[in-house]
Amino acid sequence: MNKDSVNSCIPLCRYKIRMFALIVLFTLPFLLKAQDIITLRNGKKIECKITKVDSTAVFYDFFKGDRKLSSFTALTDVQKYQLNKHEAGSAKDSLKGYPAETVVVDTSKYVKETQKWVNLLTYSQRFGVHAKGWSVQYYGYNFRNTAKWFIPVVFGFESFDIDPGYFSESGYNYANISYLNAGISPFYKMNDFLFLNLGVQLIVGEEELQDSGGKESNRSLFGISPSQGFYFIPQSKAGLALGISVYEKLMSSKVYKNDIGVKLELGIKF
Amino acid sequence: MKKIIFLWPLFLIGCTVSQKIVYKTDNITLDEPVKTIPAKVEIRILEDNRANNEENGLLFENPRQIKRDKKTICINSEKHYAKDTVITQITKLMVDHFNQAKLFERAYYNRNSESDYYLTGTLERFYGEQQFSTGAAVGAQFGLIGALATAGIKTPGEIVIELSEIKLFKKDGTLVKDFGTFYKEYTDEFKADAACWCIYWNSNEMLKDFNTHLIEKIRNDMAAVPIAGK
Repeated sequence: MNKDSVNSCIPLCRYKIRMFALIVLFTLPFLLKAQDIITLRNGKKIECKITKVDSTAVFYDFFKGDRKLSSFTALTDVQKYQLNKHEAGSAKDSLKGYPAETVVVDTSKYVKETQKWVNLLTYSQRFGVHAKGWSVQYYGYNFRNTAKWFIPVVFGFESFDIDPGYFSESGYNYANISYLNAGISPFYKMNDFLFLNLGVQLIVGEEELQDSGGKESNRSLFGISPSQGFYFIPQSKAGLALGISVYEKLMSSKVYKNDIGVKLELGIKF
Repeated sequence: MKKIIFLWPLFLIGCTVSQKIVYKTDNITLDEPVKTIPAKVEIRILEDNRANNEENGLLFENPRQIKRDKKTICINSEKHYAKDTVITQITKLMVDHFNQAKLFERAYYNRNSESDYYLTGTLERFYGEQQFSTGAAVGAQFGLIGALATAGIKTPGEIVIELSEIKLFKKDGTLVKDFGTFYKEYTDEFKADAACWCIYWNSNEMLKDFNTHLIEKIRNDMAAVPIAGK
């Protein structure tokens, strides 16, 4: 090729490049629009070719790098999907019945599951047949918005005065009882803030006794304390909680063998 | 004494807990009538290409609980699957699932003289990771009560399953349909435990979902393919 022919080629090549650029410029929007788009509820967009939509999922093909992959996404995760109206073909056969170019998915029935750890610290006033007193409890549980039952772990301690008449039946002059209680206290969600409570706690401790002859003894103490009640627990992250329960106690104590009573509880959720 | 030494390897074997790739298929029900593909199909044992994919590297080199970027994560480490059984276990599940979903007239595991077609595929990824749950770990310290209280705990995770080269052939080797590569990335919150076993069970659950949708893809792709039994 001589120098003249090279020079004459330059304007022609430039013309071709310009034409190519113009063609790309005009067709690019259409090429881009040829993609279907799935918009997920979290805002993420998937550019793809939708191949099927059924009652549970949207199936699609997409490119990851230079690899063509087929995948799907649950319809419950989809906010809307946009079908390419310019393209008719086999892929759209399964999509008949979706006349709109953009299909908004009704996900109002779908509630995304969330969870959080809830702490309750409560103070109770106890009114038992055989003893009256107070107690402090901690409840900790994993709250899931979609669940009906929650199983808090609970532990606490209490102070009480035994009814003198009941104590005198034991035949002891003096008793000092100390114990801890721990267990589970399942809540059943009745509505957003009202809960039915069915708890059971194990009691472990000891008692110091002095009989009528002045003889002192120390004993281990075991027992069980079920309770049934209703609790108001706010939906907010923090707030006041209220509860009213009936409780029962059955213990191996020599002076405080059993009890039944009502417990009024006030606490904070955090 | 000799007997004790002889039996010692058995104790060591017992220390590695083997996780199975399983899920229930007998509870899979068909909500509406489905079109069964009139073919008796061997589901050939999948090829295993996971070790060649560096994205799976973590699974082959680590125990099930590892530290990454100062965070503790749980992975479905290969160490807790019986050696070389991942593909056979997944293939068996596919056969059970295909039969329960009435995808083909009949699906057989690996090779069977009754079949007139065979399906092949390559396992590229069966990868699970999720954040370690400190809540579950604390709960575990309180025995049964703690375990109950923390039973519902979930942590963010990612499970990726990929099956490539999914192809249906006639028994004479003629390609009937190339289904390409089926891929799913599950990014969600998954149930967590203190011992990092949950990631294995979560991966199994996602495999069930993956196979459910794979069946729908095959059914959909085969709708336009004329096929007849032997």
